[in-house]
Amino acid sequence: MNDFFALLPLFSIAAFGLLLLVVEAFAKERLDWEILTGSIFGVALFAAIGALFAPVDASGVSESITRYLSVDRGAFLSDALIALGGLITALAAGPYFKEHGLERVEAYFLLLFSALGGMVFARAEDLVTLFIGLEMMSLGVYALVALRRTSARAVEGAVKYFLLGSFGGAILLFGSALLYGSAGTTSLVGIREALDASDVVESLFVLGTVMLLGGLAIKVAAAPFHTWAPDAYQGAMIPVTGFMSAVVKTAAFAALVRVLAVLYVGTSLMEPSTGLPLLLGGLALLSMLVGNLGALRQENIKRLLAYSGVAHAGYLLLGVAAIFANPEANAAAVYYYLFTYAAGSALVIASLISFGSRGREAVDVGDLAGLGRRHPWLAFPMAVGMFSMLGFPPTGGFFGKLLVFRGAAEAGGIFAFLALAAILLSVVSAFYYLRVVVSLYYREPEEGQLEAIPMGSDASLSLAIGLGTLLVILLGIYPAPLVELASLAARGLLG
Amino acid sequence: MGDSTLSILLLLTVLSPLAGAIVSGAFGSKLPRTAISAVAVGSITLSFVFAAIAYAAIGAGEALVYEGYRWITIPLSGGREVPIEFALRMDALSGMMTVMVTGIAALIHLFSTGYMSEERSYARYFAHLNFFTFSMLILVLASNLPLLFVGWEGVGLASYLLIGFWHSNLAYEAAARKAFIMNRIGDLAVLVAIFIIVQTAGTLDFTEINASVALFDAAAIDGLSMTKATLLALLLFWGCTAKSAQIPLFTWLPDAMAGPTPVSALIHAATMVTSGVYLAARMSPVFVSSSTALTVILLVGALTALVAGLVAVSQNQMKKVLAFSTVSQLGFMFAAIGVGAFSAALFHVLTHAFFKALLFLGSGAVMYAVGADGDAHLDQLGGLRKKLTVTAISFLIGVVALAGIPLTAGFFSKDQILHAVFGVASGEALAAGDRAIEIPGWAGVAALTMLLIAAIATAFYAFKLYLRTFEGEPRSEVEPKAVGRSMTLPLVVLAVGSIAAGYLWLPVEGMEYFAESLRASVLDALPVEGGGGMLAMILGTAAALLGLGIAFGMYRGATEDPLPNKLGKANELLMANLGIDTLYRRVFIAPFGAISRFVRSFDRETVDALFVAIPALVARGGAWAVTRLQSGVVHAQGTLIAVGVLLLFGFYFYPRLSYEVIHEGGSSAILLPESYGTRYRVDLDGDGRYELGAEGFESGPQRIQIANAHAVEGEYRLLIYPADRGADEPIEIALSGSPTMLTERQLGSHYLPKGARGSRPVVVYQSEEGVRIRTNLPDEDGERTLLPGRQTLIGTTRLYLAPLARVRIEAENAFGHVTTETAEIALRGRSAGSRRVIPLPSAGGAR
Repeated sequence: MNDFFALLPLFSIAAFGLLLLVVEAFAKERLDWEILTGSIFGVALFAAIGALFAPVDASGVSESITRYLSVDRGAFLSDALIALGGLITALAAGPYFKEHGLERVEAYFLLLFSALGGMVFARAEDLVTLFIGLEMMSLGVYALVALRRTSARAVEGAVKYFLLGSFGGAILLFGSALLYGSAGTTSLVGIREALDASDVVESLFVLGTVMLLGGLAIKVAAAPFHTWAPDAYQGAMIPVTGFMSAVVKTAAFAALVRVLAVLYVGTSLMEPSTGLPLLLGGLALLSMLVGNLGALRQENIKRLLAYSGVAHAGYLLLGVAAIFANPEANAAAVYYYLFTYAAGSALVIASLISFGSRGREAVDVGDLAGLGRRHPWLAFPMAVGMFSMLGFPPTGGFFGKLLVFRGAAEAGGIFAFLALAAILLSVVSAFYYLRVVVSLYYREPEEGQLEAIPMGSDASLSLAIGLGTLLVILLGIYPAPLVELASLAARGLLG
Repeated sequence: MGDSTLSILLLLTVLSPLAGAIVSGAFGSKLPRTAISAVAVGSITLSFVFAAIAYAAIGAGEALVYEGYRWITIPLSGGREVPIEFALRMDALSGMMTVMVTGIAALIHLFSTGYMSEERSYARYFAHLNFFTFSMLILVLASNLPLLFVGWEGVGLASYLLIGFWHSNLAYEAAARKAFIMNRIGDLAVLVAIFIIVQTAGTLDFTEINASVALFDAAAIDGLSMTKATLLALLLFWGCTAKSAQIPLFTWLPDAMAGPTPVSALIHAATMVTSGVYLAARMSPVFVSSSTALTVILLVGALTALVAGLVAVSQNQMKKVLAFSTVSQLGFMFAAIGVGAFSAALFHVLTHAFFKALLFLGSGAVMYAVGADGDAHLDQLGGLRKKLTVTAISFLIGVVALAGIPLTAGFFSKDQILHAVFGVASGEALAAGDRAIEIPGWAGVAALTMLLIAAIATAFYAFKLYLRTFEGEPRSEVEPKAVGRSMTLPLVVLAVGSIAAGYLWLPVEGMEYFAESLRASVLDALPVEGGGGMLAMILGTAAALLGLGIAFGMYRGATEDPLPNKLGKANELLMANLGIDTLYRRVFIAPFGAISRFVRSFDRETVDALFVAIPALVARGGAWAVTRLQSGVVHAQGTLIAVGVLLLFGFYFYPRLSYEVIHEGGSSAILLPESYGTRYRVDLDGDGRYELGAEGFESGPQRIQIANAHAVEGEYRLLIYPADRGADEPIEIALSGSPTMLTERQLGSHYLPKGARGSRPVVVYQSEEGVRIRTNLPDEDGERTLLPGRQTLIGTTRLYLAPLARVRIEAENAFGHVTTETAEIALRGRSAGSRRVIPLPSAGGAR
């Protein structure tokens, strides 16, 4: 039974997803796909949260599982994170597809199995599982981006995303191959043992490390590997954009933290003055700069989210880099940040969906003008989401930033400087996040400009928005439980 | 006493108006007017009943205390903590105030239901008025200063809200702001006083403060003759000048008449403005500890009474006359405080509350009847007695009381004040408890003179007000409206009070309780022996009758006001409040405005340019660059990714070598960090043999000690340790054969002998056996030789000649690339740290 519980979140998505596929083949009329998909994510979320509170005894799980997939609390936390992102985006996606006549049942299965891939990716204990999870997740998202075949922009985005994503996959795979060549095994634990015993080919090992991290950096859209993101985010349908930021990015970060924790934490590669922290810190600084500066000029909110995602990748990388100093606390800070980021971006996306109606999607900052006055109930969650992305108290984003930046500042030296830079660049980010809020509340549509007409009320969209708002505010005013869970997960992850 | 069931009454007294305020404020828009009236009047009446029962229950010298909860705890230095309780305390002093406040407030609430019946924001009005009463009760019932301050601020807020009640009128709004800002100026002083008290006495409870006044006899500031008591009394009085409208902060009160008339009656005549007097009485032991402060208060109070009384003479609007009259009467009260006659001042607070509330409500009734908006002009009134009989008669009673005509309440209380001041003027010795009070006789004479003139003016303007309003022929064709029962009833009650309240003070059988308990609750300054005499009463009565006579002579039968003609320019000056408002505008407001404008323009043009425009420009440039990077061409993007991965390669591929030199405990070492894939080899002395890694490269971390033996022969570094440079690293100087002058900065001017400053006195150069040092300093050898590994002193600055090691470090990375670097290290050696003349930081430097 331990085996079953160890993989319950994954099983529930796989089993119910397949069942849904069968039902779909025989269904005569439209079912509430978004509710069904959301429920499956909900089941997975509950399974993961349950496992967090009542952890599975890893020693009782067959080695055939633990060899490839981790079963510690960190694993369940990443399951919960992905299921949560999937839940909100799936709930918001249904109303969007219906409203804009883009209904395609495949989309829901792609969401489900892509998220499943993300869970495998984030749980990988083996280089092969890592790659399989990555591809499982990515292929689904490539298809999701391309789903709107009639839109040239969508197809362009999908092709670019596919090409550059494959490039990333290839780099990661190459790195894996080098690590395998260096250590003689694909198991992360095995590689670590070889490393500790100095039983690796050093030159191959550092090359493999660098390429593995490079591949992951492409997936998290850290600068300078971010160039696919703006086009892919903009070309995708709004809910897919949300999925990319709430699920794909968070899964990739969870995987990065795991790889780092298993392979490198505690080795000489994590020496702050000479090793990977310096490298990650450099990527963090570059990402924060590029993301925040790039977002300044964006009119399209999806594109803005892409750059903002690059900036957030920078903040997160800073937290990841600081893991050397206080592994447990800083890994927990990164987990916490991932939750606030997933909730915040899913909320923003759900709100953005609510602003548009058939034939009139609201995607530009200017489209939002006057919504605060005309539709206060819709505008408010968007403002909450923006404040959370900005990291303004009392939203979850504030606590995420606080924990990560504090961890970096306490790591000292160059990382304290980077934390300072991160704070300053967060100030810069206020410009583009607040511009959206200003447009909502202090602008009116210009003469001749079409007003955004929100779609009619929809239960599942309201649920998605309500859930997101609640979560973002709750994480901001009562962070203690999740902080506690995150540090438990970090402890589990670090063994 | 401490009877817990009775003490609950205090809480109910306070909470009842609060409940009324909440009901009217939160649900007022949904309730009918009758319900709002019932809630507003009912809650205050209930409060009055509670207060009256509680007051009746306490005996002289007793107090009823409601112990609430621990509100805050103030930590002091030294681990002390000052607990602040939410506790209410009623003794004779606060009991009198509570009963008076609730009683008058109930009458004025009742009056308001008629007066404000046509007002749209009916509920808001009563919500504010109830809130005011609540705050006022907190103020008088507070058992400690911070809680009193809550009420103090609360009444200020209510006053602000009600002065600006008709906030669409910008002038009214400005009047409200003026009142609020002036009060803030006073609040500052009260806050500072609170800080001083808590620092000195370690308590903020009134009973405890009053019991520990001896602590305040210490000097306020070292080397200053002012005691803490003087400073405190003056700071508190400063607060009172704002709240109770004394010179110099009195100009807000006349403007405060912008509010509805019942508000003027309640807040700006009967209750709030007397809270300064209450505070002084509450802390009377502190005030009587300082004769200096008392003298100041006496003179300021008397001057205020005089100036405001004269200004009132020339005003020709009903409420303006009454406003200045209030300022003047408050001046009388503070003059009484100035001679330590706290109970007399409080008695005047009580009688004044009756007759001034009566006069304000009477003028409100007149304004209501003639439909005057804002204020009633005396030139347009007259002859109203026939139409408004009840109002006229009660108003006349108020006027008589204000003028201090014998047998009215005003007569008794004013007589008490004049009597006390007369005592000081005639040189009577005073003492409060066992503490002698020394107020100079000239101050007493000056104050008495001013007060007597003020009394003449008071009687004059009081009767002028009555005659011009109710007697003679009507000067306006408006047919006055009838005044309803809800308005006349309070007038009658107050009129009765304006006569009867005075008899509370008489030593009649069964009545002396009031005066005695009030006297027992404050620390009055009393004549040391006997005192008394009837002269003060005769003078006061004569002044009142004189004023009355002049008024009758001037206004009986007059249709036009003869005053402007008689006084000419002086009248204009008085009309304009002696130009004090203009003066304040020029002296305070204009410069402040100029500073504000300067700061704003500085902020806009300099700060914004530097810290907003330039960063914005940088950010915009960066944004442009980043978006340009996003070409949208796939192969370009792919290339960028490839370049990124190559850069990551570079991180490990590009040879890197980092090392640290540490000097510790007199020896030097090289620290080579741990770095994955990097190995090191070190040759310390340049002889081609490796001290580290002789067998092959070794991985980090490594620490290699360097000894003097590794030094290069014949090469040195001169290390300078200036004594004033703290724990800093020494200054290192490379030497050559030609002479080098050491600069003052290098030598550390601070510890150089005096004559040597600025003369660049030390020259060093390398010679065969070591370093030659030449100085032209007094008390130093002219020339000396410093050998390697030795040190010498110049003044207090230490020079050390360090052997130099040239260390070759090689690092090999994971790909077999070798990086080489040569480090020149001055060896500080063990001797560098020895033979210390003065304490120095470790010669090894900071590490």
